[in-house]
Formats: sequence, C-alpha cells, structure tokens
Amino acid sequence: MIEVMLASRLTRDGVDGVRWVLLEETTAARNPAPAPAPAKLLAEAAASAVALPGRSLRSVLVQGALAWFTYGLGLLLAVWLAYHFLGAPEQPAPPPPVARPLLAPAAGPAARLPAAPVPAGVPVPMPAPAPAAATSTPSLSGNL
Amino acid sequence: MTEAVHWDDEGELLGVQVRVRFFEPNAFAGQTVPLNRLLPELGDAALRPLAPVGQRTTYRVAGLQAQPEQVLAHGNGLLCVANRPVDGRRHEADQWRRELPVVAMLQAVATAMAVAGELQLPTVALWRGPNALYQFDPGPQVLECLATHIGQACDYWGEPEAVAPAQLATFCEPRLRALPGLAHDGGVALA
Repeated sequence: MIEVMLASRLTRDGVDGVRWVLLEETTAARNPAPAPAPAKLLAEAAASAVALPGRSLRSVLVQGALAWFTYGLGLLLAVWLAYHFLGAPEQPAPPPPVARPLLAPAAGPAARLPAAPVPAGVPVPMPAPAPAAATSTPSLSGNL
Repeated sequence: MTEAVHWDDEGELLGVQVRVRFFEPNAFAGQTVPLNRLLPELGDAALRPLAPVGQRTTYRVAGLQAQPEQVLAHGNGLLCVANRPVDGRRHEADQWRRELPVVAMLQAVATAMAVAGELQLPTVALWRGPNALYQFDPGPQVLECLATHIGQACDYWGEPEAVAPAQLATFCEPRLRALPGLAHDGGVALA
C-alpha cells in the first residue's frame, strides 16, 4: 500500500488540511500471471471480446492484422500446393492418348466375305502359292 | 495558523469542495498565466517549479501515471496544476457549477494523487480553465473511489501497466454519480 497525501487548503506559506488515502499496488503490473494454456488463452480472448466493448483501438488493430496475416498465409500455401502438384494453370493439357486396336486386319476384303456352303465334289479354289523369289529373303547385295 | 488564500467563490460538486478564482485572460496576451499572477498573495518567491517551463515530468504511483502541466513546491507541500481545457468557453462567475467539467475536475484530483504518491508530499489539486483557476478538495468518498478503481480502470481501458488520470476520471465519474448523496450536485457530465 502506498500513502498519498492530498492537501485540502492552500495558504500563503504552504498547504494545510492533509487528507490521506492508500493506493493498492496494481496486480497486473507488479505480479504478472503465468502464461495460460493456448486453449484457455483463446477462450479468454473470445470472452474478453464480448465482455469488454471498450477495448482499445490498438488491440483491435493488432487482432485484425493477425487475422488477415493468417488468411493470407493459408491462401499462399494453397496456391503453392496447387502449383506444385498440378502445374501452372496456363500450361495446355496433354492430348488424350489414341486408342490402338488390339488386332490389326489380317486379310483383305475376301477374308471378310461370308463363308458359303460348298457342295461336295466341287474343288475349292485355293489361292496360288507365292513365287519362290517372293519368299526369298530380300537382300541389299546381288549379282547383276 | 497561516492565512488561507482568498477565492472568489466556493461550492461542493460531486463530493469535491471547489474553490474558484476568476481572471481576465486578455491581460496576459495569450501567454500561459503564471500561477503567482493568479494568486499574487502567494508571492513570487514562494512558488518553485520542479521542472523547467514547458517540460512535463511523468509521475507514477500504483498503476496511475500522470503528466501534469506544472508542479510547484510551495512551503511544506506541492501545487499540481492540470490544464486540459475541454473547450475555449469562458466560465461565468454565476454559472461555473454547471460549466465546470466533472471529468476535468476528477482528472485534476487523480493527477495530484500521482504526484503526491511519487513525491510523498501533500499536494493541492488545481485546474486552470480559460479564465478561472480552480482548487479541488476531494472528500473521502471521491478519494476512495479513485483509489480503489485503478486496477479496474486499467482492465477496462486495456492498459496493462498504468492508466492515465483522464481514463481513471472517465471510469469513476458514473460510479461517483451513483453514490447516494452525490448524484444531484450538478456539474457537466461528460465533456
């Protein structure tokens, strides 16, 4: 406790009529409380925002700046992740792969004709055998 | 027994005994009126400023921090002068009870409390208006209200270290008006 003396009257030689009052040391400035847990801190901050409508302008500005900083940080992180995993947005997408048939057409139009029944005793025309030269292995060298 | 200073008028306002002396500000050509010119019976040698003219010193006690306009040593005590004119309107001799801002009065008392607490000397609270010098003699209820609400005022204004006299006065003014016997003493509510 601190003693404070206020004088009640002003005289030619000094002051007169002293009144005494005791001032108590403020606990906030002299005995700082230990730091609470983060969850408790958030709950108390939310409660104080409701209970103290006359908060100072400085605290409101600081809270606003922190909120916008957090929003901006989250947005930057999201953009970086999208660029890293999906690529730049202006790059054209690769063309879709062409579907290749599993079996190529093995024969000409005759092969695609429907098979007709052949009477018995009628020889079935067979395709002519390929010439022997055609079956020889092509070679880049030869005799002229 | 020393002779008390003469005042032009005197009355009680919200638990504070107020004494006032009027002067003509034009006679000093816009300069800050020296206190010994306003109270010539004190004499030139009786008042000794604790800080050079124009330099304000910070006084702090128990979470209350003040920067009075002037602090003068006078005999066995101090004179603490606060000068925060809310507006430039003159105070009339028959209207000063309604023209004196209550917050400015409580602010002057709180400023004197800070000075008295740090220097540990009996201090007189003074407030210089546009054309009047006021001396405040706060009663026990006013002193107790100001002394016991410093911590709450710090919390209310979001000041963890110290609160200014103007903040403490604004915080305590409605509480003083709610006290029985002090509510109908007049005065300007909030400037």
